[in-house]
Amino acid sequence: MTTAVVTDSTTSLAPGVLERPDVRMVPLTFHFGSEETYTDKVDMSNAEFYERLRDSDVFPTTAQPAPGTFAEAYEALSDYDDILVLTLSAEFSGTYGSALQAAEMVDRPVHVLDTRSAEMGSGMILLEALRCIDDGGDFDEVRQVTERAIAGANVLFAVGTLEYLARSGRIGRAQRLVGTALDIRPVLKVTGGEVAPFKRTRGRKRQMAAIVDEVRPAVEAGHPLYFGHIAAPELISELAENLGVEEKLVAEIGGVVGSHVGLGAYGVAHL
Amino acid sequence: MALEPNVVVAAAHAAVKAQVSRINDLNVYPVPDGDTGTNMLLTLESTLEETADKTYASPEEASKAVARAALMGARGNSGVILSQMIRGACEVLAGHPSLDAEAAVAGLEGARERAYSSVREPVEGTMLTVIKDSALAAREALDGGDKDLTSVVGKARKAAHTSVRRTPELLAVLREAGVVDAGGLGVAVVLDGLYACVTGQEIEVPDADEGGAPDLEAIHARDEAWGYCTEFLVDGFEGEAAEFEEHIYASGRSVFVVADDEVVKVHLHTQDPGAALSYAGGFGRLAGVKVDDMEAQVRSRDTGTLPSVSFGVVAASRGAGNHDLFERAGAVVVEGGQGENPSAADLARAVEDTGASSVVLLPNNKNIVPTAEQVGELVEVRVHVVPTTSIAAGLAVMVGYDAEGEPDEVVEEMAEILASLRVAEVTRSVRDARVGEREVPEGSYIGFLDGELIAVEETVDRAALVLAGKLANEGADFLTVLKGEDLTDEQLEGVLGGIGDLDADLEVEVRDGGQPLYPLQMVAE
Repeated sequence: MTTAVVTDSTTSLAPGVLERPDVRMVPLTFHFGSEETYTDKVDMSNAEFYERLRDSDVFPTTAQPAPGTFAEAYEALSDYDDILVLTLSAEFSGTYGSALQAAEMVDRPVHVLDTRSAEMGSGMILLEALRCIDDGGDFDEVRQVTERAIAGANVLFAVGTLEYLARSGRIGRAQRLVGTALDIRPVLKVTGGEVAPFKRTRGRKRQMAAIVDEVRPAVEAGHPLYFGHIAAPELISELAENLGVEEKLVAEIGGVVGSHVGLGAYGVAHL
Repeated sequence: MALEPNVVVAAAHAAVKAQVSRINDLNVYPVPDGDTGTNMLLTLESTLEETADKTYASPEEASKAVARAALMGARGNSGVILSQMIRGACEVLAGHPSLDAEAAVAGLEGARERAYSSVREPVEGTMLTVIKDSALAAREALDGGDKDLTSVVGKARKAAHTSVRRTPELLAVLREAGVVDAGGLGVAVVLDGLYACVTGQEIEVPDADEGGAPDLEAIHARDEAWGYCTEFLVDGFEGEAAEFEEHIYASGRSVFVVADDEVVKVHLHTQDPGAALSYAGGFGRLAGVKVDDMEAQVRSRDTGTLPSVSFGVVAASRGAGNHDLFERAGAVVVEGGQGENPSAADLARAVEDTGASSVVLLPNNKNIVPTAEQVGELVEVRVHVVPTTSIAAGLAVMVGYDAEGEPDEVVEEMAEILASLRVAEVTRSVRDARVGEREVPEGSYIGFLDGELIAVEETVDRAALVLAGKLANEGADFLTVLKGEDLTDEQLEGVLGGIGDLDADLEVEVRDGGQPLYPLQMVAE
């Protein structure tokens, strides 16, 4: 009994994960205007993307992968008995739907799970699944572990500005933060697959302090932390120092999610 | 007296100017013909400007020039009709060497004729009725043997005001709104000006017994705005005037086509202004084109009222910047604060204006807190007072407001923010005083931290820096600064530079609040 995992490009991948034969990544695409189309994390490095995002007047839009792209990935994993697909939250994107449609296109057992999260959140969920596979778990076990991780995932993040969230229109209840008279630096939480305001703070330091307060019990309980950031590694160092932990798993958030949360965003996921 | 139409227009202008806001307040029709009083005033103003400082060879030429100037300068429905009245009067007066009783009566009748003929479907209870009634009264006086100019004009004027009071009987829309006709009042006021001119007396302002402010809601519900208000001139008109008029009348509502020798002025409400303009362009050069989307203006008026929320905020505030900041954050603002405290009734009204079933009240001033606490007894709505004592604190507390949140939780959050704030204010001493051990000279800048006097300085920046220094020492890491109306940009720069020197890590957010009396208000978190 062998299990392979397919995920999309909004999942933060730890070093070496993509090199595994049992893991495939299906990219989303993003566009600057109608003319320019890029494949997420493939055509343009994160560094280039964020430079573009900072300098461009055009706001990038993103698109889910075509079902065919998922189907190709499923076909390529024909050596495995089962395929587990982990997509970003269906609240953010139609990627989950694409993956499901692709499952019907192939004559193979494919199980699609909505991670209800993205980036460091879905990255953490993926690592849980891989750990179970590496420990020799059968498909049902892998699936159970993954579902538990999905249910138990906590993702908190801070944005540098509300501008990108406001423009994205995909922020669920966080929409209410937009339009406040004074600049607020909210801490947001991914919950139930959508972004919700967790705490309204003012000032960068108070914003980070709110994350530290919330995450500290998980640190004390010994849970590993998965960090993510957008062009702000120094903020992750500061956060890790405030929490008294080492920066073990740190990923740079990709362009698709990044274009919705904006430059200077950072956050942490834990179980 | 010698006939000088320009002098009469000047007197009319002065009279309307004195009454313009009263006339505007009666405006009942949906935008954008704009405010009746303003339109009439601007029409008279441009007539005056066009003819001022010019000498004319004869009364006839002077009359002609004034008539043309009025036509060129007419604005809005009421302005167009007024310009027609001026024109009608001028045409008649051109044949009179001097302004006597007979000329005045003829002038009023000329005005009435032109006014009626410029409107395709005359409606009674409007400017038309008022000019008609005053012309009639003047005619009766003259025919009855009254040959005295001032007496005849006085009777015309009196009849005009009586007629204004009758307008609601004639026009249902006025009756429903509980007002008299604005344009009609404008005509009566113009006649006041004429009367002042012929008697050489000051214009007396009649009592405002001709109706209060209109009930706009009733009007909106009843009188739907329609299409685009379209105005333009056709200069150097060439072609079949009757055919032109017929076509324009057929293309919209509220149509006026007013022709002079070379210029035709058109006003209409239409769904297709482009079609009317391109048609008219075939008859001459278009000038003074003005197109307003009346439906959009009504829509914006509609969206101007706050959407119904179950949980609202009312904030007392002073200063344009602060007003705007509170409004953008979703609050209904009551102007008032230091020196101008709103009454409990003012606050209660604002609470009801939110349309919410639960309301947070931010007094934003120590003296308003007790008033705010009474409001709960005056309204059905559930009122929660978060006792903010400065505008800056009120704004900081607004960060916790969430219109869709659970009221009790949100109020608790807002109260928590307030408890975590330190409030610093700089104002000026209004007299010599002694506070504790401190001498406080009149005019010195005094700084309060959480209501306690801690700084007495000669300059605003020194007082501000004493406060900021104390806040920074006590571990503040975020400072919100509201600039008052008396603080110059240079002074603000100085204060901000000083704060940066005190503590480079202190994050500072500055807003132009514009509050009086307090050049600076700050909150630290």
